[in-house]
Amino acid sequence: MGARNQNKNPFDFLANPERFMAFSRWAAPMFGAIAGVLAAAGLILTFTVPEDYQQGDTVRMMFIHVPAAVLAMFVYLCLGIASFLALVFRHALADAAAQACAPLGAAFTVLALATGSLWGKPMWGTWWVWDARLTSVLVLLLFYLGYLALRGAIDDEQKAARAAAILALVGVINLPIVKFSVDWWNSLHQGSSTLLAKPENRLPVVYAWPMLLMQLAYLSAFGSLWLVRIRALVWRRKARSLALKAAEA
Amino acid sequence: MTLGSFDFDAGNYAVYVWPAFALTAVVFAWMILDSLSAARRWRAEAERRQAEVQDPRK
Repeated sequence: MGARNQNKNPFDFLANPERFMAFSRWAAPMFGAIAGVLAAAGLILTFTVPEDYQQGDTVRMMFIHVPAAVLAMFVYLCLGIASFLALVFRHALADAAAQACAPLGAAFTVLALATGSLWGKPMWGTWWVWDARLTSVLVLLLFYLGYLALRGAIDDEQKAARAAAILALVGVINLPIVKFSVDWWNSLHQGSSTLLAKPENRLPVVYAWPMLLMQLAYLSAFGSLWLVRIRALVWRRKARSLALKAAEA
Repeated sequence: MTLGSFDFDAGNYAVYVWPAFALTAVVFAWMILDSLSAARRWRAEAERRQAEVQDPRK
């Protein structure tokens, strides 16, 4: 009976490193291929949709800026969940998952800030303004960089993992601030224009398709790269453990 | 520049639009190369250590 219930929790399937390696061996290239196809289709639409009547050709930046901003937050959510599982349940791969996604999340956040700044200059007349949305995304980047710096600063892997996981969980508080900053405070940044927004604020269908394709492309690319980086960490731990055994022998 | 139904002419906004796309391409290239090279490096290291454990003369 115990054996039958062993795989009840879906996390258990991936918590076993051997099963994870077997799964990720085909899943990582599959997500990568899906990302490539979606990005190609999304980019074709990006450069064939008509320019916006107000924003002109700068509207094309929306299809690379918004997915980067969404991924910046989504990856931090993944970092928070993985850190929680590593801290509380001590899942074998949860810490590796947290460590693997942090550099990717930082990269997406840099992209969101840089492409937003390049879009802001022609539309708002400024590269940067200390308003709630922009500042909270900068704080998000600082949490990513703090996580990476903390892991790099402590030699003991277990202590580093624990300290970084606590920092990651503290940073989760920032996620609703980023998401709702445009609703809670007056902001130069526009509010939500997704399918869930008020009808008058929703993105026109002609722009919704490239946005959807590019969003899914970014998500698939992250899925693929996350798996590749977790695999690298599993091999690194194996190499270090074998080196330790060899030194003891 | 317009190719068929493609519109690559961003006019006066080109100085903002193209750096945004170029930066995105560079960051994606870094993410892909860094992830793949780390995986290759540690896989090779783990396999080398494994071979050493199985045959210490290596």
